[in-house]
Amino acid sequence: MVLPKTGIYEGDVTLVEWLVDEGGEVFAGDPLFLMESEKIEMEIESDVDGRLHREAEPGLEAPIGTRIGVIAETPEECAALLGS
Amino acid sequence: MSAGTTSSTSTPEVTASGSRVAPEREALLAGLAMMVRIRSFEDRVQREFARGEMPGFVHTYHGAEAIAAGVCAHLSDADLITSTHRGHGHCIAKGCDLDGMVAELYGRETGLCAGRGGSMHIADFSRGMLGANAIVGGGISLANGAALAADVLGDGRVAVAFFGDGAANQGIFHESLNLAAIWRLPAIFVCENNGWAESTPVSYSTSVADISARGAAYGIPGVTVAGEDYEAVYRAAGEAVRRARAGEGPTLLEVKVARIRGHYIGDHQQYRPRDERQEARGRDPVALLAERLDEDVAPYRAAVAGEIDAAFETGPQGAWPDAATVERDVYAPDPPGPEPPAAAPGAEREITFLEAVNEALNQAMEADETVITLGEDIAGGAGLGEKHEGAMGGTFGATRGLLATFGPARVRDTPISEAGFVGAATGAALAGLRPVADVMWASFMPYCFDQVFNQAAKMRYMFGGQATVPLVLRMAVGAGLRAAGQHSDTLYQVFAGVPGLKVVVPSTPADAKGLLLRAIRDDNPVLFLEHMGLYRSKGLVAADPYEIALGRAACARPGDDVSLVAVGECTLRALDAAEQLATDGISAEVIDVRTIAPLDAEGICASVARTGRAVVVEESPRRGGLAAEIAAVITENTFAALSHPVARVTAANSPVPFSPPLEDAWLPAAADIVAAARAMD
Repeated sequence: MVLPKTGIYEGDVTLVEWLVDEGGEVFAGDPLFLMESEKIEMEIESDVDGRLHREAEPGLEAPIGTRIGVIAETPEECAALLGS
Repeated sequence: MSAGTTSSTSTPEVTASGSRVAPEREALLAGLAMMVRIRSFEDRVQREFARGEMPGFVHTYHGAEAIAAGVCAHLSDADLITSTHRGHGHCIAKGCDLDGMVAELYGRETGLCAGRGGSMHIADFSRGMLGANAIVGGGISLANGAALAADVLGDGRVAVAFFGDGAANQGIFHESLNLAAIWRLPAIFVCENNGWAESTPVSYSTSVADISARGAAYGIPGVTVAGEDYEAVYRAAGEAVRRARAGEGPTLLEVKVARIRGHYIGDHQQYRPRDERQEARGRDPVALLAERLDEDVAPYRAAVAGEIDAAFETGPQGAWPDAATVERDVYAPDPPGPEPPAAAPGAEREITFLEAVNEALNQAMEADETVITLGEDIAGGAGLGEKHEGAMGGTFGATRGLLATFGPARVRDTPISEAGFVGAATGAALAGLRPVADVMWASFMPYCFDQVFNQAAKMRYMFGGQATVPLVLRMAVGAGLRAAGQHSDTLYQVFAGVPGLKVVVPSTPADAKGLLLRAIRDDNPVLFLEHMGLYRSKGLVAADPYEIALGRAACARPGDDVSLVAVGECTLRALDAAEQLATDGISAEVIDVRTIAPLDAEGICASVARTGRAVVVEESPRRGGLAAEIAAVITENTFAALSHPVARVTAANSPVPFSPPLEDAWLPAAADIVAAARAMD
């Protein structure tokens, strides 16, 4: 899971706030985090079902495409991904 | 009810569920496989786009998969489709190469359009995919034209226009449905109604509950089916395609789907209620068909994963286009000849400019049966029998006699639908014809300028050189006939600046004939501008066919002291001026520019380099005008030879006025040219 490109803007964006707890269960369409891009705050939703592992803290300002976490379909997969 | 049916009413021929023959399970499984292919591709696009390495922006086909899959299942490579900004599904269902698609999304030379088009303008002509279109409704008239070509050529092809609910509120939708209906074209209009025109709900934007109801307005069947039901789409599309192939005419097929995702990737959809979005997710055609067939989607995904992985591996690694090729493929290459520029062959007679145009049209249609003519009033009395049909022969008489000689399939009067028939002519040019459309007056061109500017002119370039658009648009231009503001423009300054267009402005009957014959054989969209003040002028013209190369100026009168560089009818004014200047002992050379795009910079500058003085004369408003462009070209190339700044004699910076003294003041006059030349002494 990355800070996503959401339009034509290609500069840095900010992770404002996580909307799901560490290890929390999410479903496709659920809001995951708040992101600020060009002074506009937006909710970013999950595309998939699974469990969230956060890898970045709110306030992170970084380029589009920066990895900020993982959504794994199963706890086993989550563990495997973290191992890698 | 004979036509215009919706989901609530139906005809015996076309029902809401289309063909009454249920498809075999095999056909449904094939549909599932295609839908999963599209979904897997779009899921991957969504993921990769988020990483930020794909330029621009992208609209995915999530939720609409049943439409592309269910319609294209009935088509072959020979059949033609036009698509939308949300076009990946149409590409995949029509068999486009995934590697080429992905490379295009990343703007690479290896892409389907060599990186010139991107997601919103992706095309693969080898598969009959005539292009995604980022102008809402832009593809509808092009598909109409492809259907017209199939009809004229009688080759059994059909054409499908895919478009969204938003496009059903564009004028081009209405003009195109009417045209297809009156000509019974083998066209299928597929409205993908996902409930949203970007952020505007269809419930607000559209006057009818079912867009298919609008079929009734044009006397064609209108059908609505649910897009989450693959079988319903497949059956309805099958019937529409059958009708088209059988010569029964067009169908409007509305498919209501859920827009599972945003308008574009990254759209956070604050305009959309959360429960409506959740409801949309429940209308997933892929999941619903899998469930109905009791199939697990996972193996289908696995079956395409390798191909998609490979495409996303190689696509982004394709070479960037070479910056030096930025102007490649704006124009198709010139056809062979005329080499050397043909001297007029055969016996010469004195005929009028109008007769010369008419003779060129006759000879072009005689020589090549893919040449057709269409436009308002080009025949007259259509459908009313021998005594009346063809009695008009064009507003000025330029197309007189064509109907009697070549028949109604190739000589078509059109409704007053400039966008509709110019778009159709463009689509027909893509699909095997050489249409010559008559737009009557240049002042009407703004009505169809999307078709000209965004479609015909850009296609070859946007699609990486795949498209060939052998189209001629003839029109009358010019002031002086007291026709006033909306029947007198030349629009030289607008047309000459459009990359992809050639623009021809003849001033003599002999040039009119040779340039028109050449324009019809050219593989690019050519605007052929006939000045009304010249129609009755006479000159010697050879009887046999001959061509004059586009892009070459002519010397209308040799001279040594000053070059009068003139466009179109202004050549006559420049010749007048040269005569007057001669009495003062000033020897003026008159250069007739003949084509304003491409401009013969070399020919013009050769004259000016010799005389050292230039007066540019043309009939469009001075500000931002063609004369400024020509003056700049002269200055850049011959500055050292110039003894004086280049002078411009142009029309005034106003619309063309009606009152005679005002119109005379508006026009560039011989006296103005004489004054400008004398001021250089």
